[in-house]
Parts: sequence; structure tokens; C-alpha cells
Amino acid sequence: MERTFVLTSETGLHARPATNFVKFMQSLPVEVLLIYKNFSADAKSIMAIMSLGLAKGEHFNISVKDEHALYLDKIEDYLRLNQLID
Amino acid sequence: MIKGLPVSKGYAIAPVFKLQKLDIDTNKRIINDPEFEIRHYHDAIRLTKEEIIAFKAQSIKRFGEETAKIFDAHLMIAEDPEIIASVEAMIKSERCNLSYALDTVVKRFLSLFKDLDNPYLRERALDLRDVSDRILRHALGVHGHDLSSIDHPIILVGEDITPSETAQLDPSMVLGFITEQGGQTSHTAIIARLLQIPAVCGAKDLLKRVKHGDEIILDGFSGRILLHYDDTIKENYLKKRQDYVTQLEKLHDLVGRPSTTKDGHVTMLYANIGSPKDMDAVFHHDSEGIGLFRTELLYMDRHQLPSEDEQYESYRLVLEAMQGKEVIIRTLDIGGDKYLSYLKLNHELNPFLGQRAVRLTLAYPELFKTQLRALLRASPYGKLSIMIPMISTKEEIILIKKMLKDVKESLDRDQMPYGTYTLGIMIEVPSAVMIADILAKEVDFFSIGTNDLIQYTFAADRTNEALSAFYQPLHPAILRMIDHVIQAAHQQKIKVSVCGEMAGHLLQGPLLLGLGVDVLSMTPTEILKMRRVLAQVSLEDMKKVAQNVLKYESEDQVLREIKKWIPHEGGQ
Repeated sequence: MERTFVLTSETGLHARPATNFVKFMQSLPVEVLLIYKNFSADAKSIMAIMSLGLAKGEHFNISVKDEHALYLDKIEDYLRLNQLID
Repeated sequence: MIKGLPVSKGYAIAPVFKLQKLDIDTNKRIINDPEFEIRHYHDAIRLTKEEIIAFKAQSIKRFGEETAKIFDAHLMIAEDPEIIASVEAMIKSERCNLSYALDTVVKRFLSLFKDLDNPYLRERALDLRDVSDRILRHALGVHGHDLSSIDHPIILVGEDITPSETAQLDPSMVLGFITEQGGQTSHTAIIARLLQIPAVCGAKDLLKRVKHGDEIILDGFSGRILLHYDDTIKENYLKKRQDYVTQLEKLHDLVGRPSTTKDGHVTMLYANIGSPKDMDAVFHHDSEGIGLFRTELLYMDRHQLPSEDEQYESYRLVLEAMQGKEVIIRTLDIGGDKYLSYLKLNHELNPFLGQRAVRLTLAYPELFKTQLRALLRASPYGKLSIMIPMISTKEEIILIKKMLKDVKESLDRDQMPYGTYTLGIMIEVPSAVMIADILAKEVDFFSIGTNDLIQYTFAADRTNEALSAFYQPLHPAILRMIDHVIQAAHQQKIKVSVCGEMAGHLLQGPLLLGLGVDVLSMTPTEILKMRRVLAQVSLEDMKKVAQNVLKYESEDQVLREIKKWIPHEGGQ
């Protein structure tokens, strides 16, 4: 199960927003992937997330297993609350 | 003798302790039992995490919360699931040893970071190396230098000194730091200034030229490192060191006391800073506020403008840390001798008289608005004062107020909260001095930037050494300007601070107070020295001296007069 977002944070997903993003993902008891261009990164890995170099205005997908689809809403709320998406 | 860049003051004479990079064998070997190798890997990670947690606790105790934050990043790296999964997969599929697998995976990440254009990531790359080296050492049982067991005074010398290395040191045993790499803002430099021990960076080839245990002399004032010297020189340095150390110890007793003059007037001593990284120094030296947060550093040493969010984070950190004490943040002051490589500005024949500071930010309103938005968004977190550099006309202030109004409207539209703030300007151009009465009606405070005021008053470029004789802060021409500004400001009941070098100078600072300056803002390390001097000076005396010296004819005369009133020790 996937959902597409557009990153609106000025800093992209570097620095502090990335650290907080990863900490949030680590708090979820399910696997989460962040898919960008042809790469998919473990959303709980700070190194993987930062190395994607995701910048403002770019599309990315968040993917979870179908039985965990409920978590997509939770993730979307987090992204919006932290002004990572509109 | 070797000369490097002095980054922290003081003297040291002690044997060298060489931090050699450990040779870790990362060659590929085929192994029989991948499961065993993986268990071994997890043991090493666990040991590393325990170590990092201990470093963090040590670091909070020795350096403060802000400096210790680096270890949170280290912890996340140590337990990074993607790195762990890649290493495990590699050990299983290639039946190879852990050190080869981890080294390969780490190098893959490092090469990804190198392609990304971001100074934050470059720092994280160093952290990744530091953490993975620790894991490998635990895995291979290679024990690095046990820095915590150093039990005699040493001077620590290395290519670079990592946060985890500094966290282990017993500060009473380390008399100095020398690194071959790095500069003013390196981790080593920041720690050294915090601990107030001498440090020199950029000492080329030093590791080749000294042996472990060689006694050397380190001069953190000039950046000199003496490898060979006779007893007379050594005696001389030992005495200088003793004097300096005694002086520092006496200063420490003043922490937590108000900055009061001999006749009981309480004065305000603020700190000048360049980034949130300076906050631990601000607390160590007991600053009563931030009088100048230079925001240029946020824009420098990178390849693109810092975003609004990034700036907001930095401003908020400092405002929160000061817990309601005033924080004066100066908007971008670029141009003159400071430039940004990624901002393609026109070449100017006369940059100090060119499109610098507020002139530049008004010419690039989008750039300016980003900064103002970040400042306003941070304003609810403390007592914010926004300061505009290099104002020379009233119209500039009107434009800025209009811009602030626009920015507030845009924040309202985006439903972003902001709080209150005061608006001030720097007085550093003679035209602003002459119309100080007019400007005082428009703003909440003045801050006099004496370095620029001196160069513009004498029309003498301060970077031109042939003209250094014109740098005369105590010249009546300058003192009268300052007096004029203070009169105009106090007429309108607004505050005047001084944030140039004069404010932190132990002879000039007290005279400024005598002229009526309300706040002196200086390098954090000067605050306690100034507090000590002020305790021996009467403000009423200073007021009389100030009125007298305004009538003098040269800087020499002024200097002779104030030396009679202010206790001073050698140096200054």
C-alpha cells in the first residue's frame, strides 16, 4: 500500500527534520519504506533517508504492508503537522 | 618552530600525546560461520552504544547540553537499521568478515554524501566514520588510546580530534590541543575555548616532526609551536602560563554575580555569538544576554542560501536557551570584506562603500523576507530584538518596517504564529550619527558598531594595514560621535549598546559606560574580565572622566587620562 506526497519543507529532508522524521518512524511498530525516484529506503534509517537527498518540491512515496494501511494516515498527519507536506 | 592558526588562548608546556589513526585491517577474508560473525557485530554495536551514552553523560557534565547533542546523532548512526541490514546481508551472501563488510557499506554511504551539496551532511559523514571506527575497534578488540586513563599533563596532538575523543579526556590533564586540520569553528576549537585551554589548528606536518612524549611549548595567542628551545625560553613561558592560569582562576569566582561597579551601579554585559554552537560558552562565561548574534555564519561555508526553516531552528535554539534574557539578532551583514560565493554580486570598486549589509538585503527583498519570516516565527520562544546593520538614512528604516508588515501578513495567511520583538539599528555610519535624533524616533534601540564607525569616520579602510594608525577608538572624533548618539537616544528614552571591539576592551569599555552606554556586548571570554575591572571602577568617576576627555585633542591624551582611573594589567 503506497501513498504519494510532495515535499514542501524548505530544507528538504536533511538536518533536524530528517532526524525527527526518522525518530517518528522508529516509534511505529511496522515497516515503512520511503520511495524516491528508483530508490527505496528504510524510513527508520537516518543514513538511508539523508543519502536520498530529497529536496523541496519533489514527489516521494511512503509504502507500508497492506495490513498496516491504517498507519498511512498516521504518517500523513505527522508529515503535515511538521510542515513537510502541504 | 611551526606556526598554525591560534583558536584558543593560553600557554602550555608539556609532553606530546600523539593521537595516531588506528590501522584497522579491512581486507576481505572468507569466514566459516557467518552467524557467529553477525552475533559478534551486534555485540560490538551494543558496546559502542553503551560507550556513546557514557560519552554523552560526560560531555553534558564537562561541556554542556548543546555540545553533548552530537552524541544523539552518534547513537542514531550506531543503531541505523539500513546499515545493519546491509552489513548482515553482505556477511551472509559473501561469507566475508565483519570489518570488510562494514567498511564497504560505510564507504558506500560516504560516497553518496559526498555528492550531496550540504554542509550538514559533510559533518554527518565525519560522524559516520567516527562511529563505525568505534564499532570496528570493539569487534576486533583493538583498543584505541585510552584517553580517560591519561594521568599526567599532556598536549594532545592529532590530525583531527573527534567528539568521542574529547569526551573521554580529563580536562585537568590536557594542557593544550593541536590539530593538523580544522579551523576556528572546528569541534576542537570550540571545546578548547570552552575549557579555556590553548589550541592551535592547521599545524601542518606536526605529526611527522614530533615524537610521542616530546616536550613542546604551545602558544595559543600567536599560534606558535616550539619544538626546540633553551631553559630561558622555557622559564619565560612557564611564568607566562602561571600568570595566565592564576588570572583565569580568579575570574571564575565572578560567575553568578551581577556586573556591579565599585559605587554599586549594575551594568549589563552581553555576549557576541555567531551560531547556536557558541551557547555553551555564553553560559560558561555567565553572559547577561546576547548583544549580537551575527547571522552571516548561517549563510557562509555552503553552496546555497539557508532556508527559512533552517534559520528558524537556529534562532529558536538561541532564544530558548537564553530563557527570557534579551537576544539581539542582527540581520544579514554581507558585503565589504564578507561575501557569499553562491550569491553572484556585482564586483565593486570600493566594497566597504558599496552595496553591503542593509543595502544588499533591501536590494534582494526575497532573501531578506526569508530571514525576517524566520525571525518572527522564532520570536515567541524568547525575548527577541531584531537589529539592522549599516543604516544611513531614515528611509531605510521605513522600508524595513513596511517589509516587516508584509512578512506578518504573509505569516497570518499561512496561519503561522509569531510573537513580539523590538526593532533596533546599528549606528556605524557618520550620517546615522548626525541624524541620531531623527532615527531614535523610529526604533526601540541603537547599537554602536565601533569597528565600522571608526573606519568610516576616518575614511580609512580597516583591512588596509598601511592605514592601521587611523584605528584610534579613543580619538575624540570617535568619542564625540558616541556621545552624540547617546544623547539623542536617551532624549527619546531608548537604549544604547556597543557591540564593536571597544565594548570588550578593558580600558575602553568602562569609558563607554561613563559616556552613558547601557549595554556592553563582547566575545564571551571577555565578560568575566570586564566584570572584574568594573568592580574596581566607580561609574560616577567614569562619567566625570568621560566629560573631560571629550575636550581632549588626541587619543594619546585620552589614553593617559583613563589609565589613571582604570586598573589594567600589561597586555591591553
